[in-house]
Amino acid sequence: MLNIERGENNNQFVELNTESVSYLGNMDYGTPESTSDEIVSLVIDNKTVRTKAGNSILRACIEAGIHLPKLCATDSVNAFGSCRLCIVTTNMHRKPVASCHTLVAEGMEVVTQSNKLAKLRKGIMELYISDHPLDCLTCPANGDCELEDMAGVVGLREVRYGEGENHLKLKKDTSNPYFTYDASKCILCSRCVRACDEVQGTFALTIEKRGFDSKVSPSDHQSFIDSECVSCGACVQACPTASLMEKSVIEFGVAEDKKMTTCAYCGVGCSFWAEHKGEQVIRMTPAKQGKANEGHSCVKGRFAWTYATSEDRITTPLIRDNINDEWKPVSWDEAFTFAANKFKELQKKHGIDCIGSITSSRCTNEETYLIQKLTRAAMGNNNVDTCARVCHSPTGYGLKKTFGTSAGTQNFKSVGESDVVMFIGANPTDAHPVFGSRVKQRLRQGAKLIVVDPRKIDLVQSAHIKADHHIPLKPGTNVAILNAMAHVIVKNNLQDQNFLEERCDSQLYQNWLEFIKQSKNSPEAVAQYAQVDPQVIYDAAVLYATGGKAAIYYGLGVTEHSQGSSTVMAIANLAMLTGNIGKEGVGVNPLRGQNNVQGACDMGSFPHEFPGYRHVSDDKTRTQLAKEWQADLRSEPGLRLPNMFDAAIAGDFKGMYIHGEDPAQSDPNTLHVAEALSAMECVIVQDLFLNETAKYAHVFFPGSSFLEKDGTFTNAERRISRVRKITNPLAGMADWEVTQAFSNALGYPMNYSHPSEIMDEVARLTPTFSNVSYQLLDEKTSVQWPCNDENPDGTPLMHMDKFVIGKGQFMLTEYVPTLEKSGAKFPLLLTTGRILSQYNVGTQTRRTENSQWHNEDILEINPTDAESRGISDGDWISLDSRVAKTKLRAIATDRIPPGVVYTTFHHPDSGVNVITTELSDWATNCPEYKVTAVQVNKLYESSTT
Amino acid sequence: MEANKLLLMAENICANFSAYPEEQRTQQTITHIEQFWTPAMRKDLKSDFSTNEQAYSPALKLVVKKI
Ligand code: SF4
Ligand code: SF4
Ligand code: SF4
Ligand code: FES
Repeated sequence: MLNIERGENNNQFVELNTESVSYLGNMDYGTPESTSDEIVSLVIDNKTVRTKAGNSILRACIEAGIHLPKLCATDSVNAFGSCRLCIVTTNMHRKPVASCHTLVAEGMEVVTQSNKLAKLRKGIMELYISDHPLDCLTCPANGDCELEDMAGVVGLREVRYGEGENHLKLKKDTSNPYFTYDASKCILCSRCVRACDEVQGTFALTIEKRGFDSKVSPSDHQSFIDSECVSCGACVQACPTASLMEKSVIEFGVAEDKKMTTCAYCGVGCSFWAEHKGEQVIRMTPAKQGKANEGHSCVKGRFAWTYATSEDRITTPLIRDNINDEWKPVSWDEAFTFAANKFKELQKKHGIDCIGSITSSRCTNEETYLIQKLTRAAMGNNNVDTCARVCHSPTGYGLKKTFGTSAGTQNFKSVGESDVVMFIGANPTDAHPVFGSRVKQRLRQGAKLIVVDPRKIDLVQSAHIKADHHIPLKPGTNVAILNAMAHVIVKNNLQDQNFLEERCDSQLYQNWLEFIKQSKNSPEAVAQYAQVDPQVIYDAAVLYATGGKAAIYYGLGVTEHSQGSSTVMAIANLAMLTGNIGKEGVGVNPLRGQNNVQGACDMGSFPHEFPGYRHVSDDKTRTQLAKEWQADLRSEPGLRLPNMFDAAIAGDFKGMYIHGEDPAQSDPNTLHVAEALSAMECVIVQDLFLNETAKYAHVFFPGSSFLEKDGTFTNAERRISRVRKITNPLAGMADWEVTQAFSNALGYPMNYSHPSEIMDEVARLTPTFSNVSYQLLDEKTSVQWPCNDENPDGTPLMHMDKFVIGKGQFMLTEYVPTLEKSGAKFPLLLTTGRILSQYNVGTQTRRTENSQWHNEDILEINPTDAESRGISDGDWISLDSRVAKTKLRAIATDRIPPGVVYTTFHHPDSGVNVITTELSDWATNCPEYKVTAVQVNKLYESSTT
Repeated sequence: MEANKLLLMAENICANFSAYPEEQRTQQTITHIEQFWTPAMRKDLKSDFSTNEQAYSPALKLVVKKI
């Protein structure tokens, strides 16, 4: 706390306090680390210091444990050199220099402390403090304020200037639901502006006006809420004062403790410090140590975690005999007995195969592992599936077929080395925002960009970003476009012959070559039905093949099609053809929708695979697991999720244990799902909330949020990170304990005392995980599998010297059009996507302030299609498909091409998944969410409700 | 399971292997169905085939006969 009085002159020299000034141990090195391999030697305060060439003197000092005062510098952004608090003298400069803004040099001698420097620093601080409220005692940042720390560091005890013209009465902007901007506390260091530009890439902030009138301004003199700000929190993180401050800190005060954990939203898997005071979580701050996010965050992980304490959390187990009955609250034991008896009776009456389980990509690895084990060992069948079925199952199939393993090839950092980046069916700035920011940094450095997407996503054109080629293809034609790109490359002899000869199966390549050269795969042929200019396909193909290191990133716009698996294989073919595999900057990278899609698949929650992607028919694995688990294991695959629903309607499938998933809302053709769930005799739902599926449930096990349990998540880079228990489970049991107790009630004993023991078992039984342990994760923060004796530190890049499968396998990817066609009755094609502030079906985000940005799903329609239907912005429209109809409001925008409409699926009342069809990927049954033929008609004007 | 759904799924698999020569296409489709379908689904498809062969494409007929 500052104890400073305005008035008397105090000019005494005070020794520089060189202790670390870091809040809860967050070390700030002042400027970013140089990427140079060269090391230079210099002397700082008579101490020889070695650091990377290109580092600032400030960074070198802090690395050496010499903590200079600083205000405008922080290591997430480039130096600006405005506050001059970090001044030092050197043998190479005549006057004191800003150490943050001056690079180290070989032979440099630096002095950080002298009477002269101390006086200068104190004078600077005095000026800052003279225009700053002296309310430290009541300030929310007390204990976490760099200005306060620096005043202490330079020994400022008094301010000589009396009150004059100042900024102390400036108005506070409280418009953002999560943080405030208090201009009276702003020291105009511009850290926020640089964070928004350099880290986030939104360019929402400027310092407007000059001199005394200077002020931080969001967008065009707007409030934060009305500006372009996307609430990523980077500016708040960077602010050294309480000027930008989390409202939760203002409400609860600064935290007393923190633990590192992993975001429970998207597949980027950002690491956060969960800062808390006992059972009260104060805030989540992105961890610099997190290798997926390196200190950045998005609005969801940073701020939208309050759903965990939402008032409608269910904290008592519930049972009922009939779905029309009222729920009866019971003890945990009664719930387990009731559920286990029901399942046992069903199996006795209808056979072993009449029940199954669904895991979720929101569950931890340990929970998922337990559920698949419970299904295979306690239920005695392989009827276990995961919600990855409805998102990335084609990735599993396609990458395993071509490369030999069901995972992306790179780490996120690799994109920093890419010369060309191609996005197909992915919208990272909305769906994977922290990775989106990382990509934008690379694009601003000059990498080229290809976007394959029907919609003009933000990356096509946004602040300082413009795609070199945008292929606005007709939904459902991904395979054809990728085949055409490969055709161009082959016809123009642009393939990487060396890579093909050394790394790929030559016979399969020759067969593929013959196929791809066929004229049906030419851009001219494809352009006719993909509705794009063939020249754009040609140009994109040439850029991808010749532009240097080229990386492909793709999302659900690839997988959720009837040709999803073929598209994944066509992407893999393209990467192999051009040698874009096995090094930094290249690769094939699925952007996983949910936090633990990768982990759910790794842990064996598909009905045909044991943990580690080993088919159930593999005798060696099955025998090993059967022995370890003391159970008879089936060698035939079980039912997939959609097959379970079909079997339920046919009367063959009677009971389902569903953990963390809401198929009644998230699966396609939800009317069909509802019919199937109603047909079952015992549905068990384990969740935080009574979700849509719970309407059809007979048992409800209250779940625990990611803040209430230990475990691990595996992100889209195969990175395994710890989830740490911050608070106690509201319902008294963590999810893994619930599954274990349910298994025991079913008669199959499980006795783990901590999730670390579950991971130990996974490691013991899964070759790609054999070195993974909680101890290793605690030491390294995270590791990317494979992590075994061959790769003890994990594997950042896969397929370096050879493919997991040996030689790369080219697959023939015939373009088979979807059966879902537009026509006279349903002339438009509906495709769906996500928006930044919401997540999936909104179960979590709709329970937070994020709904201020997006409280309904809106239909985007091209102005030509809108005009021909008399639709104006905001009008209510009916959206009819062959399956069902729903109603939404519409806006006309040329982001979407004629003939295509687009919406999100975050709000249950919009019923978007009610109208999607049951068509699915040919190989995996992943639903075709991305193509539904629809008609749009105006219902009534926006002013009418 | 409903026979027409199984038939649609099987035809779809077959169509996506259609770029391969006949023998490979048939084998790939069989392997796929064996790896990913439950025994009950395969049985239901075969049973439907026995009464509804005319609804099957020539390529799928070759497959079902060998499952
Ligand atoms: S929250 Fe993020 S987007 Fe908004 S102004 Fe701050 S840095 Fe920019
Ligand atoms: S708001 Fe904070 S970070 Fe931005 S200029 Fe002011 S003090 Fe610096
Ligand atoms: S990018 Fe994804 S993982 Fe990271 S904070 Fe946002 S939602 Fe969480
Ligand atoms: S910290 Fe170096 S000039 Fe501000």
